[in-house]
Amino acid sequence: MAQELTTMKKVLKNHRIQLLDRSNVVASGVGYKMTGGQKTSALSIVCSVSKKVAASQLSSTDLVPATLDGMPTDVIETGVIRALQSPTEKHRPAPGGVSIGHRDITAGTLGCLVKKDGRSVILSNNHVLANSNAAEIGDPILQPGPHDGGRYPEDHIADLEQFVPIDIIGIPSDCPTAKGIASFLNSMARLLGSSVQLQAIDMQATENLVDAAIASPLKPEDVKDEILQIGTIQGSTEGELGMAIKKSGRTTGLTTGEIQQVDVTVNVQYGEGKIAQFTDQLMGGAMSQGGDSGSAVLDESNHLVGLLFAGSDTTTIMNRIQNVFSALGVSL
Amino acid sequence: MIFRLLIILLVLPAIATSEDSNMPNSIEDVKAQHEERLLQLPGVVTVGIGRDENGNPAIMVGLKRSDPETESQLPTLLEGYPVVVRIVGRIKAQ
Repeated sequence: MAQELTTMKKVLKNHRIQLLDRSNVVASGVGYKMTGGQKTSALSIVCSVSKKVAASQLSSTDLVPATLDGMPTDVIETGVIRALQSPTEKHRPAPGGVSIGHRDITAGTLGCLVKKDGRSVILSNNHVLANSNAAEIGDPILQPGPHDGGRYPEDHIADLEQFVPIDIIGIPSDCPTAKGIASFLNSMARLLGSSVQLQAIDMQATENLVDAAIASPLKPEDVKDEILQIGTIQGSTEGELGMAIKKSGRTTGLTTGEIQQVDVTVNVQYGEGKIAQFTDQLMGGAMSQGGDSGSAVLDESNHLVGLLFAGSDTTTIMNRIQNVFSALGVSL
Repeated sequence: MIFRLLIILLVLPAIATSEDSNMPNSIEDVKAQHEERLLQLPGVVTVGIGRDENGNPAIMVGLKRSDPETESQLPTLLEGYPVVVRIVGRIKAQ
């Protein structure tokens, strides 16, 4: 086998240039010959073509010979091969998985399109499209996001339509009494040799379920109902423990993982000293980094299960998509 | 008729009591009951339901970083369910 492969490589090297000169041929290599859609055990010189054309319609100079130096050839249709467009570039139409953001943020990810009152709208996070509650309805949304060079008005793709406010419970308290008590307890703790420090925090335990928002595209033809490197969504399903999942995001692209925890209550940092508590979340492993927020999370059969919004170096946190849909009144 | 009603009244509380004492609490209930206390321990940032190394349902406690003081305060079992500690790091909005 190894010897056969070496011979094949030699033959390919001698004929590569003539093969690629033929019209429609976009790549050549060594691979197993396909017969009737099935892989055989025979090695062959494989020519990838942009479009398969009947031999009778090709001139003899464009025809891939059945054998080259006695070695079999094969022709497969791959279509035109393009360089993958980066998720941080400008995309029109823009699919899910690309950079997007409110004009006052850095950049996040366009999750996917969902339906609101029969119209297609862009789904992502509140902290991506609505600047963590600070935005006003109607504010411009840029694709790519400002950090990736998105500018107003050239890259204005949509307007903020709706967001679910996030209750941020951990803003350091302005209450002087609470601060005084905390500082007194901390000085006592220091005297007792404890390293634990208290911080006066407004504990107003309102539970958040989602970090979600939608934006209305200026033109329907500026957005695309599929996700980069994933394809079209085939419905939605409940995320379950052990489920294999994937996402396509602005920073780390296509990544895969597994739901490691369900029913998760998590304290998430929204900048220095700001913490919001979320319940009923899904947890995956290392699947994301800053800028991937807003990514749609799907199972292996392209069923939507979650909306990615937070994480650490080892952990990814997602809202359940059912909670997102009911909070925003949207559907697929 | 009144007799039958009486029997039902006598039997019902008995059933309810036997369920209370014999039915173990679900892992969801146990987790919900303890999570507020767990999240108040220094460095605890997540509480969820996952599986331990043997594949059994477990209550997962996530820490910002390794913290022997907090870890020593965590039980190994809660109402019969294993408690597993994971270092999940500081969770930030991304």
